[in-house]
Amino acid sequence: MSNPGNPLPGIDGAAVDQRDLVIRAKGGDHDAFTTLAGAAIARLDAAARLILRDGELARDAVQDTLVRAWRDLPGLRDPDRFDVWLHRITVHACLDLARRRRRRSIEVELTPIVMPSVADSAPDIAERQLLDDALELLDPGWRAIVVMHFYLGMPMPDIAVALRIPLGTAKSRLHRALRDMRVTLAEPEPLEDGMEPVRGGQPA
Amino acid sequence: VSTRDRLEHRLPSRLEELAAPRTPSYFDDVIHQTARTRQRPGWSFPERWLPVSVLTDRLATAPRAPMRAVAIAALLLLALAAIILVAGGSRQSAVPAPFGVAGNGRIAWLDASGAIVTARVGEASPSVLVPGPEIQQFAFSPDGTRLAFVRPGRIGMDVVVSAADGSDAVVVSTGRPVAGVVWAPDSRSLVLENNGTLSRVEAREGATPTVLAKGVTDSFERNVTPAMLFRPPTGDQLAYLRSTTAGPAIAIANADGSNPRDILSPATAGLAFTGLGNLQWSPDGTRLAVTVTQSADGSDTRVYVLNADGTGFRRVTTLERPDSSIGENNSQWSPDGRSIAMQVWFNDLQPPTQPITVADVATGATRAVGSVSIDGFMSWGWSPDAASIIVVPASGRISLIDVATGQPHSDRWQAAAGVDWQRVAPPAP
Repeated sequence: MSNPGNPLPGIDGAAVDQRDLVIRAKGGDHDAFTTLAGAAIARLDAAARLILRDGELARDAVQDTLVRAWRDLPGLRDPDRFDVWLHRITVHACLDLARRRRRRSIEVELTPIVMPSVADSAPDIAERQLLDDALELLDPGWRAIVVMHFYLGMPMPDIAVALRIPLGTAKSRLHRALRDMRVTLAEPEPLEDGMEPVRGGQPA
Repeated sequence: VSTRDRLEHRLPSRLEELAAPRTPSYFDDVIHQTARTRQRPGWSFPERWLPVSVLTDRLATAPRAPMRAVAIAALLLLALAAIILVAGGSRQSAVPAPFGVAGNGRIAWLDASGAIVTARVGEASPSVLVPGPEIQQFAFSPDGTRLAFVRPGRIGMDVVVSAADGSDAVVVSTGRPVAGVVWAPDSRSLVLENNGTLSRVEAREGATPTVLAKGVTDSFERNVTPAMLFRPPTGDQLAYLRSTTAGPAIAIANADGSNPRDILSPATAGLAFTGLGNLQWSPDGTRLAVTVTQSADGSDTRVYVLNADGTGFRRVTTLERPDSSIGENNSQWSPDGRSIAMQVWFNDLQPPTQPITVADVATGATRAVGSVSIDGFMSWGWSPDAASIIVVPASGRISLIDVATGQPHSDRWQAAAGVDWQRVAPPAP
């Protein structure tokens, strides 16, 4: 989501406008980029951990994201789209890493990301664990869509553009991901068959 | 409140709890790393043309060859070629023309290990064509004799070309980022795409790429065919999408990238649109198909056709739904040029995915074929003989659809990514 006019803490502590920072960073102002990165990195790191399920891989993805962002920032045409642009780079970096990890067939020890606090109730902890399991069972590509929509707050058209897939595919994947998560969470709903035959020659 | 609502309402807060955002300890390291990284200058990004190709410059300034000697050498070469043709022509194996209907060869796809595996229709057990891991993309050449694939190299990506059986592999390009590869119609050169730049390179070791165009917005990452770039039947022109200040446009250039010009833009189309995609020449080279997005949110996308000069811009189907916007995407001409197959979504229904839809280009009549794959397809395309459509749904179970009957059939092959069908010479009548 764009964040025009959003005040961010500058390096001198004064509130500054995000659009102004993006324009300055586009022009090569590294301090402005540091402020932008500082405001975004916690969320990017969390999103990457949710998608990749691994803290070290998430670190690699976010590092790659910010280096690419700095390098390619002069090519960003609309400063108001900085957040969406940064999220897109992050998700692509995550999916690249996930793809490589899968193809190398290396079994990576997944780092648990559920860290219960002492104030949590037992049902809360149990449900978070179930949700964690449900996320882990998803394909990384589907998990990315869940994270982009429900954690990064990206609208579906932006997700479709970011992933270079049609809007219908993005919606289908989210629908399927939520359906699978409900199964893991034991929240049954009428299930559609993934492959339903239709009659050939039937007018659409 | 339904269970659906409850899960969707809980998710944002639960995800916050699962991965509590915190400034990571590596923040300073990243900032130092960016400080050591040079920014790419703004002019180096897409949306600019190469003013003149390097090749054209070089040719223009090269010393003139002695014409008499060149003519004699050419005559000798022609005579030699004629002798070879007469003597060995009967032994040559025929290859298909680069565009249009061809015979069905082997089917190949990427498996979960990142290897290219292959089988013929009816074969139960696929065999490995090129071992993995990490092959990203591949395609048979239009004449079916060669195979190009992309895999990570020591630096960047390697583009490798081999015989169609995977033997005699040579690295054509290394150390350069490559997002997509398209075979040229001659089956002897490739066009590489990265970050909006198209470069042509001969399919041999150590060849030097020549930049054809910059600012291209097409994606050549999957389901790539030469007709997505080269104009049939000879490949003497390129068509591609680019951004202009007025919006997206269809551009045409000579095959070496020279003389680029727009044939369709929002200013000339007589139709306001926000996006263009899936540009592809018809097999006879007289028309182009393109997906057109009219809505700002990308939800309403339709397949259009137009003549090669930009005239005759019209919708192919008449699909309408009163209860939903419609997405028609990933359109592909049938090899016989009569139909266009596309994926269709009714965006506001749950689930939105529809079966593959085949549209008659002349009448606009549509029919659904095959099965619904709720998650859409990883890859799909026409068989070279135009009788079938091969699909790889998200499940990875490859399915062949008989276009005449609409019935799907599966040999239980399992793919992890893209599929391609080798073109061979059509069987003798």
